[in-house]
Amino acid sequence: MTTTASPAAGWKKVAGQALIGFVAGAGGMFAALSVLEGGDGVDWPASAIILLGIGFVYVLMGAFVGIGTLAPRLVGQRLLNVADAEEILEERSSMGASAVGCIGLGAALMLLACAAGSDAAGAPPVVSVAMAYWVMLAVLVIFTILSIWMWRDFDELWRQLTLEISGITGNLLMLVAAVWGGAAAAGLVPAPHPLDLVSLAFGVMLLACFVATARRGMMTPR
Amino acid sequence: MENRVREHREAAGWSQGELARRLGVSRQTINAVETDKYDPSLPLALRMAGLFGLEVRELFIDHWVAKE
Repeated sequence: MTTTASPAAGWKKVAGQALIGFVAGAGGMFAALSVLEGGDGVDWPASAIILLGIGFVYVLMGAFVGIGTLAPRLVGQRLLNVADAEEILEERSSMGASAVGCIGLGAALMLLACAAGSDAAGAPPVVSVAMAYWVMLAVLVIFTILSIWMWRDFDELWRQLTLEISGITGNLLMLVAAVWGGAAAAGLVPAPHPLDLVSLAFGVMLLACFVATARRGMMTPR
Repeated sequence: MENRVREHREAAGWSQGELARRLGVSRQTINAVETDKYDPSLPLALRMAGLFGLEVRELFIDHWVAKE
């Protein structure tokens, strides 16, 4: 028995996944922007809105993986790029940990964006920016511990993939930091806002994940 | 690197999951090797070849030719 579906069926599945992702992403961002426009969102700095968007992508990814892991036969095998539900069951612990990590990290980024955005707009924030920072730091520590636990469970492909993601993230960060920082020092562009650095770190890591997994054929329909 | 893992796996009547279980790796690893997206480590290549009763060079084909 082979576990590879026909190419047409595979791409049909990917189109369905993309559609679900688009609807959930666009709907979520529309709802978030509606709430912001009703409140003080119009006065938020662009950096806060960008960070909010990046946090939302992490939450959305974590939610998809989490729902797929909780209901592998009902939803997971259609929602995630796996050969069948059994594959999710085999990887349940690491997929569950990834989902929790992504949702926690995304929520912490969104909280920081909301706190900093409201603070900049002069509105009373849900939590202070300092509190949001400590929450993000605590989540980062938990995420790191979770990553170490997952590393022990990884086989050689996943370890290689993790190293590639780290390498791509580091190189891209160095490139953007050097070019942007240098250009800002020369007065050619505005200096990055502190929130831009947070967005940059997590946005680049997200991009690196897609690049590394695509290079290993893990975005190809199965 | 070109390989004949899929061919030998199917000849043995194993699914990707079954081969992964026998080798102690994930199914994604087997899939990535078969689709030529990942070259396994030397220990894993040795284990794969051993499982099929082959030499590594019979399972993984390298077209490299030494320069004179």
